[in-house]
Amino acid sequence: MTIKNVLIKVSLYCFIIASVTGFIASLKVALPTADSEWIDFRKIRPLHTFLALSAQIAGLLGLAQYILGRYGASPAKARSYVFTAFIVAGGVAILAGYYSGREYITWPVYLTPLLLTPVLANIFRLFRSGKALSAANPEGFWLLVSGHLFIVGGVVESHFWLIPSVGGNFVKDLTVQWHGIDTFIAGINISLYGVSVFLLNQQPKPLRNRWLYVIALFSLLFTFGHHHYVSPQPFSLKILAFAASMVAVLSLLKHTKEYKKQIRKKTGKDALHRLITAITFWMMISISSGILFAIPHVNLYVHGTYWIVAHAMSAMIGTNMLIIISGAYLLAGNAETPKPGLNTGIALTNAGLAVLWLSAGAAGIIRGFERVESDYLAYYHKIECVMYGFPVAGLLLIAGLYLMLRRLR
Amino acid sequence: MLEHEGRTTFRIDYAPLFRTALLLTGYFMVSLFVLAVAGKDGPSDPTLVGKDLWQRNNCVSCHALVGLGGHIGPDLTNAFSRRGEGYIRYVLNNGSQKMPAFRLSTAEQNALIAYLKAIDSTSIYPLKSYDGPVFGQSKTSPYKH
Repeated sequence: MTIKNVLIKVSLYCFIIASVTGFIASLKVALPTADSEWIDFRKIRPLHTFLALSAQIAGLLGLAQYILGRYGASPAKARSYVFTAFIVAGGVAILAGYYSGREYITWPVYLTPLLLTPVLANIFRLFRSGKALSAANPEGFWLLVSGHLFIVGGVVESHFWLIPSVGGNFVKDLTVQWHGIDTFIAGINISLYGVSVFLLNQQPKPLRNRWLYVIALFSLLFTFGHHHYVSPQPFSLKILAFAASMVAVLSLLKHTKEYKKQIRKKTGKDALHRLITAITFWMMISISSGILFAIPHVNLYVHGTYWIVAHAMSAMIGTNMLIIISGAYLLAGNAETPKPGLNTGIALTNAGLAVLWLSAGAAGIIRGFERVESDYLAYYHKIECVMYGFPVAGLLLIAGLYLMLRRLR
Repeated sequence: MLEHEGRTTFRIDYAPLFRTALLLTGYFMVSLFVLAVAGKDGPSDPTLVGKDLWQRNNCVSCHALVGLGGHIGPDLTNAFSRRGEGYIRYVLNNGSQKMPAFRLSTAEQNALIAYLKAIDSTSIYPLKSYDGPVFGQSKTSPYKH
């Protein structure tokens, strides 16, 4: 099965390299005293984060291009090469020791225009084809537009630290940083959701009630404060964050309903069905864990532990990566026919995420409670044994990814 | 897209543009609100040199500040008050079982320590009591949670 879309190919290769770098990073996490240049955590961790995010953005840009192409837009090879250049340049820079030194936005600042250019170009093309796209699928169109805009907004906001009055004030920088990161990640998630709505719905999905849209936006824009209830932010931001996070219960109910509908479908050995079932399952897990962790009494013990890593991975791997792989299968054709190895690949990916949840959860519980009464040096040895689960999870995820992708070219 | 006398022209639909302008305006208003209210009580970092060193050495890959960062090493929010300047200097120069020795110059060490001292003055993290306030315990905020 052949894929012609350059960005989808780049995305899938990026996922493979990201999973390998993730496995290398997990070795350092499991064996922290291992002193080796090739698992210099200061390079491997930002590289892994960079590749994982780049893979998701490349995937959503590629799938958005495919959708635009269905409505008359011309192919945009230049955009594909610009974004590929961003990934290559960013990877080389991080390996050479040039990074931003910030969380999530790990690439050097001067490379950001290479990321923003194709996203902005996509936004422009979305509007040029806006009438046709919004007639074909109003909800899908608005999800794509909103998602792309939030990617741009989030990335720009994540660079506000360059303004001395922001970067020079730790508390302000921390707050703005969290808002920028949340908006950026939400933009990726929303865009991928929009892509799914277009690709999976034969009938146009109408716009939801505008008040539901307003509620969703409120949740998106104010939920960021739940990442740092404990920091000296204005109380107003914390309360808004709590309210915005609890609103996500509506989303959880909706996704739970969809998951029940999905598993009741009798579709035989339909390859796509299995992928969508896994996606809806992990989406349910990441939303429910997000709501749980946003409760202040729980957040006190969960914030700053590996629990958060598990939550993030179920969204990024279990949901976003699988959406892109589903899209790749749709583009390659014959998505409904059984694919040898795909079911095993999905099962191994699910198993890898489950092992990650168990390890990260155990490490998170130990750390969350132990750090109240004792020092890091006193309690860290209690976590070390459960950290061996990380490389095991990494191997399962690599194997799962290989089996899912080997039929695609 | 319109075809007219064999030429293709593009006409932009203004309804989605209006909705998008509304969306962007809302987003920027929220961002400006966050910028305006955040950190009003927080002290300014007395040394941007320390922050620059923190970022250039990518300390955030292993260490967190108020929970944002890596988890392989300890959170350093209150490292200055809990461990002291001497301990921080020792670890920077000699490393530890898990951390390489950075061998920074005295001036660089001073800048980094000043940065950690400034952060230490903003928050208490993690809390050291099971009955701790769930919205955190600030060293600078007037709120008593």
